[in-house]
Amino acid sequence: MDWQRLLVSYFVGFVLLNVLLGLMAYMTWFERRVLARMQHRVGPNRTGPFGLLQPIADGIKLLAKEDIVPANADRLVFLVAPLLSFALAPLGAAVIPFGESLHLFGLEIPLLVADINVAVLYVLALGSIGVYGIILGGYASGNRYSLLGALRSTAQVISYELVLGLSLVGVFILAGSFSLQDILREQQRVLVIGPLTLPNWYILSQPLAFALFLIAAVAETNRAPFDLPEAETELVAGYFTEYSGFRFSFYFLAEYINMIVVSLLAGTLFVGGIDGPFADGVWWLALKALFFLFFYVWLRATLPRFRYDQLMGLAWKVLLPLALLNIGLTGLVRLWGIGAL
Amino acid sequence: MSLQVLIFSLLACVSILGALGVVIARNPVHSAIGLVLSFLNVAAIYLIARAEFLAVVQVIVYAGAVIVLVVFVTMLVHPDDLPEFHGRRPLRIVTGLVLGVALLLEVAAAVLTRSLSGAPGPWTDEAVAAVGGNTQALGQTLYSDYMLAIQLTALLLLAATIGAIVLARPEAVSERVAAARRTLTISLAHPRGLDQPERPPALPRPSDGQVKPAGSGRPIVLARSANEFTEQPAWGEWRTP
Amino acid sequence: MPLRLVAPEWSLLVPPLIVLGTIVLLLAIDAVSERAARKTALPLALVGQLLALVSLATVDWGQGATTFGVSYRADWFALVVSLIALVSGILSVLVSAGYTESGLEPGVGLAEYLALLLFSVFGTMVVGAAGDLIVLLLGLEMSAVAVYALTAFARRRLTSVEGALKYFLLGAFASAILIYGMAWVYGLTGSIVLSDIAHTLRTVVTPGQPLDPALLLALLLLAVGLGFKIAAVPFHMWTPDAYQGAPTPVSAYMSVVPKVAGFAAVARVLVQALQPLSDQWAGLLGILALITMVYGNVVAIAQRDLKRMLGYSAIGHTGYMLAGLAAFTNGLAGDRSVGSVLFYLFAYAFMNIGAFGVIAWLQERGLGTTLDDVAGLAGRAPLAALTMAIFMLSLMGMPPLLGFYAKYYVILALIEAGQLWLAVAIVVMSAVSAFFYLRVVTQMYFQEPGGTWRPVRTPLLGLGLTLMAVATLALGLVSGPILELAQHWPAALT
Repeated sequence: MDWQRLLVSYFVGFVLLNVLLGLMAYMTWFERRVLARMQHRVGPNRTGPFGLLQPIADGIKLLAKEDIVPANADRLVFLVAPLLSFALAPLGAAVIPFGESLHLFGLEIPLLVADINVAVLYVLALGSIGVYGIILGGYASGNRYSLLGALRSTAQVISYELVLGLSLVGVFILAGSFSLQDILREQQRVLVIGPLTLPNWYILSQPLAFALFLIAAVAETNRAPFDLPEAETELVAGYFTEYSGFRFSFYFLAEYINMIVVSLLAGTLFVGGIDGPFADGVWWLALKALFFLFFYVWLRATLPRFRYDQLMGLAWKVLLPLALLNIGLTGLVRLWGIGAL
Repeated sequence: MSLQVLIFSLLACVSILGALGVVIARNPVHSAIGLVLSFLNVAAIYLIARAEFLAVVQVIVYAGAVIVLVVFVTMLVHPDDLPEFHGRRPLRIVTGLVLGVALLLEVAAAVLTRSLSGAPGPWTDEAVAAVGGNTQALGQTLYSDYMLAIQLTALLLLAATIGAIVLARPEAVSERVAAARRTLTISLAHPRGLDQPERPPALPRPSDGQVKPAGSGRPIVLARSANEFTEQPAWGEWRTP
Repeated sequence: MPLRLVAPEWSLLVPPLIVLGTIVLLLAIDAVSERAARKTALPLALVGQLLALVSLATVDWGQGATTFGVSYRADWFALVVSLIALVSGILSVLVSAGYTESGLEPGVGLAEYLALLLFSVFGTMVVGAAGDLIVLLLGLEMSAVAVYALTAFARRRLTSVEGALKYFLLGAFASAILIYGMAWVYGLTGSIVLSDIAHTLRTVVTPGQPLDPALLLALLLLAVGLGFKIAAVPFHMWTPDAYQGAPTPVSAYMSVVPKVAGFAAVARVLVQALQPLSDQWAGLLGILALITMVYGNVVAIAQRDLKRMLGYSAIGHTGYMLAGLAAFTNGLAGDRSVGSVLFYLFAYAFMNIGAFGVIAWLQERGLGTTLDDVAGLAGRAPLAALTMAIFMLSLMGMPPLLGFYAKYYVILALIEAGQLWLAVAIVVMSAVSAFFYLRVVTQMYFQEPGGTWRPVRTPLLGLGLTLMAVATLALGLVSGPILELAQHWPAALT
């Protein structure tokens, strides 16, 4: 029985991984098209209808390029670092619930890979390990610009990870659990305030936490306007300056997968995940995630990059105190709710 | 041998290999990578023991924060500038070996020793399950029985943070100027009570031969005072001799 | 799952909370306006500690009430430790007054300086009131961590940074050993609560039988860790450098309050938790005491730098205090051991902070810290010379002064416990110490002055020195009530 569950879980994970990789490829297409539209351009439209074959062409091009290792590089670390980034990125999706269990061929197939009772912390832990891909890549390149990019990026990710984690504490307090399943279950309840009937989504009870999470998530995935590690103008692209060919694309793939995972997480944590009007289901989660992905692209088209000191100042002097304030307020409300005040 | 034991042995072996790597590697960054490897495997061992929270915290705090800082600092220092840790100094090697073996023996003793009172602790499997799992049990205990310790830890970290900020804070410009102006700083810790601040070395002159004229014979602008600087031609208006 | 909430007994926590409130206020004012902080920080720190001192009277210490479960104990021992910590804190702030006011050290943040100092006082109070090993460790660390930073406060000077680094590294190492020892104790007894540990040990340890080796290992690790904290030989290596390198007011503070925290921890761990093992640790402490007092006093003779000399003399005094602990017999009402150590610490606060205070006073006037710098002080500043002479004679143990009574009670405890050899050692070492203490006095009175003299006004520092000199002169004669208070310890620790 144990083996059976393991196999089912493995199968679900396999499907999920492939769906993610496909999505990631088309995320690049989506981004370029939307960006082009926002900038009054056309975007890729030559390869296939609406440029739909563009990601495949890009992939082939990158595969065919030469894989260069600089003479000055720390060879082994240089070769492994992008793989580390890439391998860690999709792991976060393993704990996101995509719906109720399916029943096929007499087997119960849960629509999530692993139900961990510290799921959200697990995602945060993955984020904190993910830094190594960047920092080791930058270090191993044997190039000053790469090193600087890596240092910047590490400082940024560590700082915003703190905000990310703290912004979620309010959700933990309300849900009383670290498990995404429990958090989802809490959100599927209905909130009745006088004549209004609202879903118990945490975006309503934790708006501040949601805003903080969104900002921190953008920074955590190193996207505009927080894309300092790859500031072309200052650092000649930052930590992956020396990478070429497919190793270079691993970093890109990791970035896009991270974006998708974070969007799924945001959808599950704050806006009810698979919960929605008419019929619950994975389509609601997909729709919400798609909105967040669009938001990412929208930000990139709209906002200029932060300066480094502004970036750190924002994290430590604005976001962190706000996150702490949110925790304090939520704690007080919770105590009041159970009549302890 | 059950599956669990098999997985445990694997994790333990990799963890030990990582720890060995920390000691053997000559490059400090490689040492740090070994340490991360070791930590991650230890976290996985916690998972086998069903201490999920502890495992995740181990990853976030040790692998994700502490070692990142270590790598951060070592990256700022050129490997050649670091002190040599692997010199052939027999005394050090022997001391290290003796200490290591002693520690190993102590750990072995700790594993083999049983509690003097012989009574098991209060958290049996049933008690943990009644609260809703290891994570919940840990939270309950920490925030009720060990409340004071939690609060004091926060204060301790606050004190340490203040200390670190005070020591690392750059001096205000005015203070630096004041310190530079004072030729004799009276100090409370110096044995003679007097500190002679080191003056910055004088700027080299073009005539010293250290500074080469740049460009097409245009002398490099090296002024010792504002007046001297303004005597130089401004950009674009070359004075014809 | 229902939330289980705990509310502490707030009334027991008033004194430490006042100290904490003062810290928060200090930092808040500094954050709002640095200029306001420069003016108000010093009085604020003084008033805060005085209030905390007064508020000690609001708690009924006799009941030995506990709060936060049993983590915090408000008993006689906690009272005396808090008292000593607060008094030393006030005196240290007075000594720091000139240092921070005259702006001799660029880059010194007054508010942060005082906040760190108060954090250390707070940590010491926590150690005194600790009911379990974790709280004890956290208090000990807090009292130490703040001082690590204070030692490096004159960060322009390499000696200051060097002293701080040595102090910090060895302190962290000692903490690791201490925690390891605590882990062994926890593993063996299944509890971190001090009274529970004692209870469990009482059932398994039979006097006269050889000890379980694991228990002996735990005891040794604890002794080493705590030995570092109180700077007992052979764990004293950081002391002279840290004392010499730190800014003088910090040296004054460092020589007393962390030591109070260390001895409070020794008393809580060894006397309270490991009391059934008293046969073993009393012997161990006796040997440590002898080595420490001999080493400290003999090496101090060779020093020409006053701060370094006082550093070694502090090691010697640690030896005397350890001897007081070694006089432990049975922890019943007649046992004077811990009480004599507490009184010693109380007396030590006045004379040692005073001695460092005079050095700071000299430095304000442009002099250094060597023996040559105090030469001829009696001609220049007779009052300062007199004060210094009082402190030196008191540290030496001259009869009507406070230091004499402190040593007297320790010797009395030793004689009652039948440890005559240690009592004799204290007397002999006091005679040895006369050499370097009296050398300062002769320098001040029988030498010609040298160096430049820069007259400045330091009213608060002067007030502090006067207070300490008067206390050193007079408190010995009226030491009854304090000794009475200190002798209540068996009610708290057994």
